[in-house]
Amino acid sequence: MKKLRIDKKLLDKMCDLAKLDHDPGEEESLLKDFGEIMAMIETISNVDFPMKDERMIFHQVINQFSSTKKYECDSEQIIEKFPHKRDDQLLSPPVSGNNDE
Amino acid sequence: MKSKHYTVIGLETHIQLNTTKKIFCNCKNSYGAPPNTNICPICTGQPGTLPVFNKDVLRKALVFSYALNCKLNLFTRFDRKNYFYPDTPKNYQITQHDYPVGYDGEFYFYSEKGQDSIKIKSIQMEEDSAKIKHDAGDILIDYNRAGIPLLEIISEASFHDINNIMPYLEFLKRTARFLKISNCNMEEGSLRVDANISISTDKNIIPDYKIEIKNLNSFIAVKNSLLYEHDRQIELLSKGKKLHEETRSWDEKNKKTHLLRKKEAISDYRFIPEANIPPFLLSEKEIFALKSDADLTPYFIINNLVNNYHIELKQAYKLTAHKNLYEYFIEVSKYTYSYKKIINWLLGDVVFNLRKADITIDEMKLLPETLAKVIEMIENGELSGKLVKTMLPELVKGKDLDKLIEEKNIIIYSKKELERTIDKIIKDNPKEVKLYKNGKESILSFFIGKVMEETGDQGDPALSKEILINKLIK
Amino acid sequence: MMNRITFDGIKEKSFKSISKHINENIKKNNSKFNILIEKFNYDKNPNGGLLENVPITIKDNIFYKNHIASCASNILKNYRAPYSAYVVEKLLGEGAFIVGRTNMDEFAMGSSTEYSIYGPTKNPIDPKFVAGGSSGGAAASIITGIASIALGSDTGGSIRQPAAFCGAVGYKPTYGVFSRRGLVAFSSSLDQIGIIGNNVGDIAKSAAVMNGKDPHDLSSYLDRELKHLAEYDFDSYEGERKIIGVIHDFSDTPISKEIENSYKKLISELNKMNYEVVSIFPPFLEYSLPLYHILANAEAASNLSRYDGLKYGLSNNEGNYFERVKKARTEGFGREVKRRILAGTLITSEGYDIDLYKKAQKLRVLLKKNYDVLFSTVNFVLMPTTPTSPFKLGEKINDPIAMYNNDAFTTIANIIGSCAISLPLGTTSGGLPIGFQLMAAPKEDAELLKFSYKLMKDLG
Repeated sequence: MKKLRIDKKLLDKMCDLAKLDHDPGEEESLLKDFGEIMAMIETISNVDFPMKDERMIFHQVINQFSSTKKYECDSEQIIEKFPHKRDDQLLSPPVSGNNDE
Repeated sequence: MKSKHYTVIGLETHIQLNTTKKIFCNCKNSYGAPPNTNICPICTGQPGTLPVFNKDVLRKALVFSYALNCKLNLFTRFDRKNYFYPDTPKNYQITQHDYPVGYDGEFYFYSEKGQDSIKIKSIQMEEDSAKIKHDAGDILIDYNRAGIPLLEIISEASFHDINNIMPYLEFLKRTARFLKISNCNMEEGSLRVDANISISTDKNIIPDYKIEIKNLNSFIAVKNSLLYEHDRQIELLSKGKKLHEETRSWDEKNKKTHLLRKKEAISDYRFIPEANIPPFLLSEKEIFALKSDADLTPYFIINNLVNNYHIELKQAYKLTAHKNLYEYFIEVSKYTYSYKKIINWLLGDVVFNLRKADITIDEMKLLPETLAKVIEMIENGELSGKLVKTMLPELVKGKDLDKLIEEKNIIIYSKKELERTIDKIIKDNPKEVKLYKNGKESILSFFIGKVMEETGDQGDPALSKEILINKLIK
Repeated sequence: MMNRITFDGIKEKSFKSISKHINENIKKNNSKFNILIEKFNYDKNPNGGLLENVPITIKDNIFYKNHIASCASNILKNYRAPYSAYVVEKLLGEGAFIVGRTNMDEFAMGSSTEYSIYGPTKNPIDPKFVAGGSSGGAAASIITGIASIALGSDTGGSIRQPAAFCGAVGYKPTYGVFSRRGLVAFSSSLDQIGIIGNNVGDIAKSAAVMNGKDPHDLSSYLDRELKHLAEYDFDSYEGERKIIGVIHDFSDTPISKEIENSYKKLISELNKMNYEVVSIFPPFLEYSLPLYHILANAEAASNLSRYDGLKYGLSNNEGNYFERVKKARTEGFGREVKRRILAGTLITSEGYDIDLYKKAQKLRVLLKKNYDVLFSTVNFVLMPTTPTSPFKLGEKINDPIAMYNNDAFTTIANIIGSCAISLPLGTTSGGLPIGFQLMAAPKEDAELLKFSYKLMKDLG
């Protein structure tokens, strides 16, 4: 089994996927903690067991479907929370596109 | 073309289902409401909310999977596709990944020219994203669309001719409409396409890259963007350039595709099971009960029209363009066996007059039995086709047939009455009868003229001719 | 002890005298131990009912309409709940009132309530020590007499461990007993709302009120047996002969001598009292912690991605979309939350060649089957709640692995979705509480509570 090296490159990649940043000063301790957590987690690769399928109904609640009940919360309450808005719509800055072909 | 190029295209088609409620909450599934009025804590991704599944979505997904001849997963569940984007309220989309509702299907479809089929990789249920509008450099987000149920139909990458794509999409649309699972209205965005295209120089080699063109919302856009991309890729390849995986968008105005993301940036979606929705364990019996709901596909109907009604494929194809048109045909066909005549009148003058009057087939007041009666009267020579054409504009608006006949002062010439009139003409013109009997056949037009004169243009010329010939020979 | 507010204690008292008592206790304890993040403006609940005048605290990740629920995080610091949690509605419907919201580890990730933007909650027994976590404020609010019932959440032990550290009773129900609507999600397949209280009876009565099939949570279900506990006479409980499984060999588990000795003492007492005790090996116990972290972190990374600074919560005016999101999340989340999100992201990402996540899901199924077998031979499993007694503030704050080891005995109940309760059944030589955990098969909540009541009475 191949184990990944927890290094700066990997950390940066994960940070990008998870949309997180860290202080350069924090990096070393973050790498250390991250490495220790992954090492702890990877101990389950020591368990050897035969099992073909992870399919299961875990909590024995099968095929339950929605009712007609609504949340006691109207749309205004949600719009009120928008930090930036225009005409009752949520305002977001543009997505960074690299349209430089 | 100098060197041989093989085009490889696969389509991901998104169809909005026409359920009354959204997929995971009780908000209305409707188009055109003021921004952010059909929203709730669930579909806007508030903390502490859990998706609650709308069973109607599963039913429609199963019916459509049957229609596309898919295998059905008796164990099916939802997964989360994780990616950050402004239109994704939770920054993950609840979709299906490992166990989609349908898989390994084959979709048979018709065009005017004939039959074709395409392999279907999977059909999955998922939630739609919010609607994004660009406004003065910003993005405006309307969550009314977030959580509308979608079916994503993923075809195998086995289209090799761009011209085959329109018939596929058209027939997919018809199938969804006939089975009443979606209105597939492209202007409202209820049918959207992502297309993957790549070019190979060897028929047996699948290219090691693909270019995805995202969010195509008209058939023309699908066609034009693929044609553009096809030419662009061939040009780059012929220059010896190596192509890499990319996501691009179609610019309708400039008729070009633009780069959205390169492969390195194409997201790692980190799929995980959606733990808040228990997986479904379907029984064979339960899903088999839905099979009959998938029977009346346009494919089945066209086969039936061609084989049992002996209608030409081209006309059968036209007749199934709209479900209502086909259903109207079926109603009329209950009153007359002249199927071909029904289709001719329906696809011809009836549709023409409806369009002219700007009414839909649903709004049309002309009862099927009335149209059948009109067709029978033409067959019997009681009405001329020419005359019916003048009557249709009023008939489609609901004018009573008998009243119209009375108003127009039309004397219904039954065959008997026509015979009586012709007997009189023969009696009154012995000279001309003699000429005909001596072999001057051209004199027939004189008699037909007389019939028209006597009947005020309302006797059927073809029928008159038939009767005349019979009587003159005697 | 006399300060605490039990159901029996308030039975004959007026709302006025109860609230006066609470206010005095808040005044006396809150600044010292940092228990309540916010005291609400409460009044007598006009709904009478089974829980009339019962004071309740809620963990800062449970929704009470129009009140702030911040998860002790910067990113939700001013987030006002737009609706109430199902369990809160149920409690209010039976006459209870809500005193305030309690401190916790940010997004319930932690075992000491030190990872909170509001600072740590100290152990009211001895403020040099932690109160445990993540529901540290909840546990402290019980033993300082601020509430008689504290709602918390338990994803891997966050109810049971602080209850053990503070000397309270902590009940983590079977997955689905309490609707999770209005509980801010950490790990959806493991999360469960739980109750910390003074005694089993109070908890059982509240649980009976809180249980129900919520149309907004597909995993919730109605437990009729549990419902019956609302007006059950616990002293009448005889019960057929129940079998308790106990661990004799701790060689695979890091456990302090003190806890082990205390555990052995408890077993011998049970033997003396003629309880039927058998020796067992809880299957895969040594792998439960890494398995838990795989499942929890993977789900947490996904669940916490909705906090993007766009729709609600902490925001900013940074340039483009991705920059704005990154800034909000970087400023909004604390270190432990970031560590867990990163681990969860890595576990599920394509670049991670070991197919660990798939394996973990399979292992979970295997565990579930193994415990089904175990629970067909024993009724309950008795274990220490924690491998060590309460530790000092700051002792483990920079050592995530040492912190995680606190959950060595608790995560298994979350993994298999069963119920467990931590009972205060011992003290250390230094006078700190020790808790022992009784675990039962899924959906055996009523039996677990009845038996726990009897056990507490017999050992009392």
